[in-house]
Amino acid sequence: MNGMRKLGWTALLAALLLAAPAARADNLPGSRPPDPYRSRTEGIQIQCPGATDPKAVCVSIACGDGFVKMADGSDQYIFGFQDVAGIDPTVMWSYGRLGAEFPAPTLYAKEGQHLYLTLTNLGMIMRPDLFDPHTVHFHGFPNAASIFDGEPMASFGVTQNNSVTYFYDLQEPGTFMYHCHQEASEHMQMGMLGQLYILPAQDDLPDGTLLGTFTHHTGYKYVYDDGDGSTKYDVEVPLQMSSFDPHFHAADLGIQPPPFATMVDVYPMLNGRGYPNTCDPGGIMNNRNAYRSDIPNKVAQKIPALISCTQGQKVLLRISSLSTTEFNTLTAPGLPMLVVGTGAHLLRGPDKPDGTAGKNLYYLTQTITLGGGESTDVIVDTTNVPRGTYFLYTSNLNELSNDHEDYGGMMTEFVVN
Amino acid sequence: MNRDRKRKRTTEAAALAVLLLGIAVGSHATILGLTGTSPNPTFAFIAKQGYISTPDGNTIYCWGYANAATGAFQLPGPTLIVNEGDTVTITLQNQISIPGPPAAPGPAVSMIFPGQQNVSASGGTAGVLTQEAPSDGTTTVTYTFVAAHPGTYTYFSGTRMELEVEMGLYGALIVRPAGFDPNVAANRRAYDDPSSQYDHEYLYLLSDLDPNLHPLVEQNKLNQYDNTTFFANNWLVTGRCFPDTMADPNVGYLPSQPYNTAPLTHPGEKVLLRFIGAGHDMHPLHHHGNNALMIAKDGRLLESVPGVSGPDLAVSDFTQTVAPGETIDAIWVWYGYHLGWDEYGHTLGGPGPFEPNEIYAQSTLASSIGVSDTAITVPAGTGHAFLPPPRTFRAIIWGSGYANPDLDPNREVVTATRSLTNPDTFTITRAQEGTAAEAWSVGSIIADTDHGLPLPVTMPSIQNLEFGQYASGSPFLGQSGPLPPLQGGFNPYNGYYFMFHSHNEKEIVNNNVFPGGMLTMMGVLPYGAPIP
Amino acid sequence: MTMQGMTRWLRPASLGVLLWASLAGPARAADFYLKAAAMTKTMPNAGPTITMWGYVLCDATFTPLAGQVVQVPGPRLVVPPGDTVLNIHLFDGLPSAGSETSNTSLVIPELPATMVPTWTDGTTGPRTSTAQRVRSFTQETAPGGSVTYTWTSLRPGTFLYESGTHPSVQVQMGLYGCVTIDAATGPPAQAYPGVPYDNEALLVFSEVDPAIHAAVAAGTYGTAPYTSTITYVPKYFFINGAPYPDTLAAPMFTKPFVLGQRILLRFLNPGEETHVPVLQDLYMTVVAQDGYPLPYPRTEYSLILESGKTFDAIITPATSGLHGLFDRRLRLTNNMSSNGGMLTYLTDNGAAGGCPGAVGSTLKLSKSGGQILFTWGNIALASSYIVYQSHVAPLAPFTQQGTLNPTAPADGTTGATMPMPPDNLVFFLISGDNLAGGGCVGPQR
Repeated sequence: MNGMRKLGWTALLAALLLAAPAARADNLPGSRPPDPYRSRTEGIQIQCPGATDPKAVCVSIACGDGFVKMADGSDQYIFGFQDVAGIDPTVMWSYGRLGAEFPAPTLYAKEGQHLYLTLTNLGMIMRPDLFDPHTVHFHGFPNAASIFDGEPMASFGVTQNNSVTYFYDLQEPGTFMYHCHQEASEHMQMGMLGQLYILPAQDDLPDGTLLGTFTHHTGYKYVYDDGDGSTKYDVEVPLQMSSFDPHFHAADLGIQPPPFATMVDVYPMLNGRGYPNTCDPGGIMNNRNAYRSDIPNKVAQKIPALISCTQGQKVLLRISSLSTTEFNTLTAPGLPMLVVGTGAHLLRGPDKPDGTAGKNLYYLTQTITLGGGESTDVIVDTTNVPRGTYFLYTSNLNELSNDHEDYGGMMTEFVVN
Repeated sequence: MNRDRKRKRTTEAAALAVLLLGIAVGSHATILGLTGTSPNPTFAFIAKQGYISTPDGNTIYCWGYANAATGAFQLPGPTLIVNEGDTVTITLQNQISIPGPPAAPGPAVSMIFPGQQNVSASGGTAGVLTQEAPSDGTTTVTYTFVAAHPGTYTYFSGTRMELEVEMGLYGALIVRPAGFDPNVAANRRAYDDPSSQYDHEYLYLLSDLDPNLHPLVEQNKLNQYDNTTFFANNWLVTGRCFPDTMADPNVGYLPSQPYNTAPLTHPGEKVLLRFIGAGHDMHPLHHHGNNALMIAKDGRLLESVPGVSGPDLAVSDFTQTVAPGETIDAIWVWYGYHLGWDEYGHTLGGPGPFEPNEIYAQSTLASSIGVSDTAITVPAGTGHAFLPPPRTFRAIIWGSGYANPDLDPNREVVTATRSLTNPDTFTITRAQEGTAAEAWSVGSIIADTDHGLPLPVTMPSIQNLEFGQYASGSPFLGQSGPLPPLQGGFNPYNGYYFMFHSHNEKEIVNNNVFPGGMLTMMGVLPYGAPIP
Repeated sequence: MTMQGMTRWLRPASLGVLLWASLAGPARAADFYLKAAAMTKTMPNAGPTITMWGYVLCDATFTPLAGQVVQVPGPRLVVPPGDTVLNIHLFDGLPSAGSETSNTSLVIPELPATMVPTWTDGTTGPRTSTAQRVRSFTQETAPGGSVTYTWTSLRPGTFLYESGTHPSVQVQMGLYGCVTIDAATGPPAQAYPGVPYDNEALLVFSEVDPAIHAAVAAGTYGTAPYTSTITYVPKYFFINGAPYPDTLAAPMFTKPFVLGQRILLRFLNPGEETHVPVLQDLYMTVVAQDGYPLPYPRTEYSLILESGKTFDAIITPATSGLHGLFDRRLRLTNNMSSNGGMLTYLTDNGAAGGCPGAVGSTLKLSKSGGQILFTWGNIALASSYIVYQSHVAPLAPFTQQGTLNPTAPADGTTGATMPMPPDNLVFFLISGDNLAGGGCVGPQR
């Protein structure tokens, strides 16, 4: 559909967030025919300040409905987000209809940047009876203001055919997440979940800068502004736990009231996939064409969960959970997990009054337990890990299932080459 | 300032009640409970049955600890608030009688106090964990302990817990540190350590219940009561489900659920959140607005040297994992730091007060600079408060004779970066945002602030948005804006509201009704707005 | 619990496939021979008999050592301090389970090891297609065969061992146990460098969903309704393989309980749920998790004991109170019956000939004139009876002693008497299907 789709997801998002904002207008699909479906575009305003704000990075995402495929082959109707960078408002609806992705496009940016995030509500193709607003909640954003918090009870949701641009002055690095907060129990169960992380400014120190006894070099990457190089890593893998209740999704597709009271998740997932799809480095094609014959299928699950590194590398796992129902524990036999951050915060005690760093609270563990809305940063140092294939999976072992299919669920592979 | 307030919801409007009460500015929210008389507080409890109401329209048969002085069934049990070193005595009788048919005496009940040591229990009969009171209504069991350590604790039945905790036999116990004085800021503490000082405190006693189990008990079908298939459909904060959490305490329509959780604060004030897990499940309690610093667990400060170091092992997080039986104390503060725009909507030099939370870091010039200088120094040891390199930040320099930059007509906006090697030396880019470079003398003030920065985006027309009940209609703290009819209305002081809720989002419903359950709204009110 | 380690100079294992890495110099190795096999457990209160899979400690020919039976959790494997290699020789004695695999394997999640996965298509090694699914995280042992699993990067700690093959079924079936490695033997022993202790207790939390066990035992797992384990409704909740009151049957501590001594509690959870053990009347100092010392010990009365977790904590009881230990997630029933599940006491319930003053219950015991006087609370007497068993190993099965006098007063200030029995018996008062209490007669500590 769009040339950008052929890029890997990381490359795509790098282009999304790190490219100069002025470049975005170049992405307009000039050959696209006039949108036959849509005439109202006045509610869509994609705000990006361009050169007037050198710190600006701009993201344009749209929300609506769509379909994804579970690892057992079943289709699930979802609500979700998709990337509409560079898509002109006049064609956005035809471009994005029934195009929701799960998980949502991963967003990342750098500490110190100004994130302008435009959300456009495309409405629900399969649910023309629904007029749900949507929001983006930047989960964990420090010192949020209600107006950009995306929690609609304290602010607003964006109604169909309209857009809003949220503004975030990115002050703190870390592993956050984002999701729609409108009727959150429903919209989050339906899949409006994504990963969001902020890279630390320490990455951009001049070559040779001393961090205590540690010497920074250009290209070094850290989880946080640790001041001592202790969160340096080589390979970064965001992993988000989530899970679906197919009965809930079927009810939404079947124009039934959302069955909150019976919600039980039976598709435990990492990055929107059950095992073994977690280990498929490609995208997962959905089956939306079976539900709307005028809309071709789409790769709607773009984020693998496969972890691969070279022995000796330090692998950063940015682990978060947006489960709507339960806590899950992850374990990885044979892999030592060093926790260096929780809650998008370096795992240190409070700074001392003189500004020196607080006590280092990093700890080694074999398990990570997260409930919905929790995140942690784990570094796996593979120096002493024999080469081979390891498994990162939930120790809630019954969830190694894709519903009634065995040998699945919340599991992925960690390959040390 | 002309917002539409014609809409009057019949549901709870705690904030409006605040208006009516008119409690003095500068007061400090405190947790309601029974305090007894130090140093030997004595409490008389009677285990009773009754009904709670949930906002999905249900009325649920429950058991609870009642204060014998009033005799009223309540859920949770009375919050006991005692002082460090007190010898606490609690007597317990049991009047639970299962309605049936057929009617039957209730089971024996008891109380256990995790975190309290050397609890003595006498009277009644011995159970698996402690002495129990049979449901004869007259046998008295007496529990006595010395509240040796300050902190947040819980109590609950130690008898047939899978039944009796589910039915509601739990409560909170707060032990104030020695020297506690709610009216003296320095002595308003959670623990002995001064870093546990706070301005407001709120109790988040989290529980969950399966509304299908309770009728089995009520109807004397205990042989069908199966805790292994427990499946919650109601989630409670201190005995209420949202939106009842936000109603006033002791409202008449919730006669057995006396405690609310309707937190309010001002920017920069410290809010002590006392979390207690009282149900079956762990709950990820997410607080919007900012991270909180978890300073204690199970009534013990997180400290490397107990009793000495203070909470130097405290952890910052945006979600607290509250496990059943455990307690967590966390301090949450909303500063409004570094939004990138002026949260009061002010312009540089314009009208409106300069509020104390607008300064993120401040120092003075250690030596004078001329109009073309691009480096400044600040007094040794003060530079570290500013953002470290390679971050750049906006700062305002103004004359030391002025209380704030609005008052100095010559104020200068700069962009600053700290030196890599000397945190007290900054390089600056002069004369930003239309201000002129000035010569600044020693002692001139430099502050990192967003004061006067405009909102960077244009908000859509209100017709394109759907506003919630706590919306003010304005991006700015303390200001209101137009709202569509029937929207907003619960935010009379135009504060910023932040949802504090279970992030296992199925837990913020009442059965099949969204929103509800384990949900509260924290209001950050503009300075001057009263807090009860 | 069994602590039978055999330490010797490393030599090639005589059985099975050798996986240990070559070592530069002489190293001391701990070798254990385990056989995985089926067994049954009978639940209290006339509960069901459940098929489980467990381990039995064997000699080098995989013949069970004297006194050893297949058990869940598996035997505790104690690696002597200073040993640098751990070999676990595993013989697969599992029964056929229909379409479910009877191959098995063994992993210690907390310790690095060379692992070669086996896929459900039977192949091993790196993944070769996106459709493959892992069956076994490391090399499998087939029924009737054996494999030696070797760990060469040992460190002090409390570790789990468990099946690495189809764990959602095999770990649920009971294939788990505990490995401990101390830093020093002492006395006092050190769990970790600088963490001495005088006494210890092992606390393995796990659950059982009998429906899955029944399906596996019947060979029907893999067909509806048990095509996967997603529907998991555990009904029995174990500490050290037994639910309360059976938790009281085995000695809690490895040595006689002495007030004021440092007791190391080794918590492990090979189950599938998070449990929250809460201590009554005590705080513990948590010193390590998953065999990793904490940077700073924590003082708390509760733990979030996630599935797959181990914690080490020290208690130093200064009083001889009850010190209950229970799962605050309310897994405190045996199926639907109260007073069961994950409940025990951190008191001396009979270790090495001792007896607590009272186990604390509606049943109270006192010695009087060569008889024991039982008193009890408000129970339905007609369906009540007393059972007893020795609390000194080897354990006898519960024996029903007789029903109580049905004419005794219902509120029970007095009760039945029986002739003075030998010491070291634990008594339980059963009322209907519920345990109404328990008591002990013996030398008081």
